[in-house]
Amino acid sequence: MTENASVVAIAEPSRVQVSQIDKQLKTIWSSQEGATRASTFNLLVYESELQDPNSIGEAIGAIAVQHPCRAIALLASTDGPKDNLEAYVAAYCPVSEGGGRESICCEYITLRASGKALDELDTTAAALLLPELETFLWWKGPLNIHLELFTNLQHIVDRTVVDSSLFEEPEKALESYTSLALGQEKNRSFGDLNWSRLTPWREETAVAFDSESRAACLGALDRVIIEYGQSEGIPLNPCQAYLFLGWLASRLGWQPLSLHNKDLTKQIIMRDSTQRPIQVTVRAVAGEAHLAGQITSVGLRSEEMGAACSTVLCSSDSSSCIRMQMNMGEATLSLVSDIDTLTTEQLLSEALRTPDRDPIYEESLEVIHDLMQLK
Amino acid sequence: MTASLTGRLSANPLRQGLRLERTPKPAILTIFGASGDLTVRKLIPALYDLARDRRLPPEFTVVGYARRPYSHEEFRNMMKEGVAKYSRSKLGNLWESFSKGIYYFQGDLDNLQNFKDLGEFLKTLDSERGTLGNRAFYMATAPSFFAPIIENLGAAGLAGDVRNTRLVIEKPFGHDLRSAQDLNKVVQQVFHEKQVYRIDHYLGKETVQNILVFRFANSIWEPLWNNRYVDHVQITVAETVGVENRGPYYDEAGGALRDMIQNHLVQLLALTAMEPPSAFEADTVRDEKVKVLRAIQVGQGPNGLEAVRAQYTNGWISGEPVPAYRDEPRVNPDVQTASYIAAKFMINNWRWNGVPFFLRTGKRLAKRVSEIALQFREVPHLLFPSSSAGQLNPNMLVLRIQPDEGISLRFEAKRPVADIAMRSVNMDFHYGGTFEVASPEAYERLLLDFLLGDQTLFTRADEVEAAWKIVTPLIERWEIQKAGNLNYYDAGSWGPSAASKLMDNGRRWRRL
Ligand SMILES: NC(=O)c1ccc[n+]([C@@H]2O[C@H](COP(=O)([O-])OP(=O)(O)OC[C@H]3O[C@@H](n4cnc5c(N)ncnc54)[C@H](OP(=O)(O)O)[C@@H]3O)[C@@H](O)[C@H]2O)c1
Repeated sequence: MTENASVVAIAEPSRVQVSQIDKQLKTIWSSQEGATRASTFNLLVYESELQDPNSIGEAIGAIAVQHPCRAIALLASTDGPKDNLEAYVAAYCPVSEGGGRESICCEYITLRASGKALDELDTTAAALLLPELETFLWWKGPLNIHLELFTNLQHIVDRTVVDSSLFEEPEKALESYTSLALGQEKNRSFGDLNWSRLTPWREETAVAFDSESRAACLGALDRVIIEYGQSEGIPLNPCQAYLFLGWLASRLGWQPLSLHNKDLTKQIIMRDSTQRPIQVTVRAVAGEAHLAGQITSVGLRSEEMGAACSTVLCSSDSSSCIRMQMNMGEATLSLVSDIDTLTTEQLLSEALRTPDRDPIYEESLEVIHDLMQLK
Repeated sequence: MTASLTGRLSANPLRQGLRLERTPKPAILTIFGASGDLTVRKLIPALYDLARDRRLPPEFTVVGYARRPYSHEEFRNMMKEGVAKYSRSKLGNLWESFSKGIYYFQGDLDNLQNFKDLGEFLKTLDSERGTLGNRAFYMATAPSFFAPIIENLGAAGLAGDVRNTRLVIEKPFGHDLRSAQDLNKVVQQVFHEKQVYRIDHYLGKETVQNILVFRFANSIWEPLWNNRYVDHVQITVAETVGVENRGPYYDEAGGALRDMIQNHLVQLLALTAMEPPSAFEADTVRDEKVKVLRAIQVGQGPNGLEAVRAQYTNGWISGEPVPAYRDEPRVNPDVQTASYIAAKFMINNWRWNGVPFFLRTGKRLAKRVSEIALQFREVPHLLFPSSSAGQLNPNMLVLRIQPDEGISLRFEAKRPVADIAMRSVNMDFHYGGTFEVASPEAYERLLLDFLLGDQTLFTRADEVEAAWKIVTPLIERWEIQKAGNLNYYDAGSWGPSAASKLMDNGRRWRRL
């Protein structure tokens, strides 16, 4: 983390007793002339040690540059004694453009736990939160392991951010996740980095139907094909494709009626408010590893209105651009636009921008939730 | 289907919840003077950045208008270089489709027939590009062409109406009150005020818009924001650059008074001093700005107007020698143009009566910095004996605009010793540190607002006239009567010593 160019450590991580964490942080601050402690929120980050051990640190470094915060890493340790808890504290300051250290810095606490101590980590974390600030949880991992900690943490956080591209047994995980997210109290919200990755696809799809003549197509669409990448050795993950479908369906008032699985293809029938059926195919297509789980193309058509409505969006071989082909009256308009491949830190920072609930996201989850009941 | 330029609040349900809930209507933007510097450096790169952020409709079309005989392809290639050099985003795959929507039209700004032909060309493009007759015109030319362009647009039947045609007027809008009024008359003969967008690119800066948010989204400042608590206000816009190659243009345009004070600094002053508008809408915001502008006057001291003008001599900046103004390229060696102005302004209304606003701006100053500083009055009764308390510093609230955007508040705190000894503490807030996102360029914001039909950040006819009225006494004294000495300051300094004489009652310019 110290080699991360954008932050400097004003104190390297040191191991402390859990009860001494606050005291140790005070010592760090008082040794620093001119470093201001500012906080915009508390950030809890869960990660299992099975994952890349450096990546939390780097991500928090990147977050610290943008938002001064108290960050608490919750590490699920797999080795070491059973029911064990260790704590470390450190502080980092962003480096300003000129190379100098900024005066507003980020505190960084690591709690590394195993067994029962891990399941009950929420109470330890609760005591370490700065008062009266929003608390975010970034759950960096699948949902099926340590689900107890995940559920327990819900009591102390305002917003939980997951990454459904990391879900194992994706459909099962989606089912429990949507139930949990939709059943929350009003003042808690959920986010998904995989949803943020969809933004360019949503924007591009919206562009295709902005013109008044094409807006009419939306009511006539009856065929949707969503393809997502699949790569050998990487488990299949259709979450992003489902999110896109959930979004499209909720915007257009479609309800799922049936879902059939055949090999790598899902055939779904939906129905709009006039009972008109819409046939949806979600399928995995072989591609490169970096596209695994990512949408690679979306096709929207209307049998009724023929070519006038057909729209195809696809990412070309690189994941950095979307090609759109749509028919406008007589002419076919083809448009290539770039998408920035956002890093996890950028996605996270986007997901942390507001603690508010996102109704569009939740309505998409509702469709997915209904769809998962049809499995 | 009626053509209309108003941004569509979407009938498209897919737009709900996206960053841009409204997108501009398909339209053709014609840029007059398109072979010039502004187009390649600012306008096309900003449009490209907007397109890359998916903020423009795919049908969006640009026509460049100038005299040089370029082909569409040559013009596109020039613009491509501009985008590669100046846009925020890299030249990517998008360029191919974006550049297909760029065209060049060769014509003279004085030639009515050329405008009629332009009209025909735009009609052809409408059917090719699906732009539905929506038109936007951007005058990126020398100001002497503004009136002829507007008259020719009118005569060629291209002025359209509020629903389908808009016009952007670059700065400067006039060179004094008379010429601004004359230009407004020309504009209003051809266009409705609702079609007209006068640019002050300062208002497109996020940081400048933040002044309004800071003032009107927080309740703790409002009770202090008046003559009861504020001792005075200082507004500084300091540049380190010199006049560079713009010498003749800068001289002709009248130096710092017209280039900076009349527009940018007076805008900052208006945003700082205006009353809260009833809504954040184009006319309510501009109504309040106009009201306060009408109440502003240059200070009058025993020796006349309280204002100082100066020109830089040679000096050193960042360890490099720099030439005097008069030694700059293409500058006439005995020119009287002021590159620095400092002036005291008073606002004749209930809120600000008696509170001086000191404005200063200059080229080749020690540092590049823009800020608004409110100095508060001293405590009414000094509780701590001055011997032990030492010198009391008044509280200061600073809105920093650039380079390091943020807010700082200076207050007194007791030093941790037995005695009552105090020391000033600065509490700083940096926007950069807290919300670091690459902010869009001012032109991006303004072009998007323009295409969406939001006039809030553009100057209205009465507003631009009110701003000219404020500086008219200075123009009369310095340019018409040629009275008032031109002072000099070393490049790299904080301006002429005469400026400190404007400060009375123990006040002093902030050392920045
Ligand atoms: N440059 C900037 O960064 C900047 C910043 C802020 C504001 N502005 C304002 O923007 C405006 C334009 O600035 P600029 O620097 O782009 O000016 P510029 O470089 O002088 O460009 C003006 C263009 O107008 C064309 N032109 C001149 N006479 C013409 C005629 N009779 N008919 C047709 N075209 C004619 C010229 O091209 P041809 O010779 O090919 O006709 C020239 O390229 C000015 O009002 C300026 O104050 C500029």
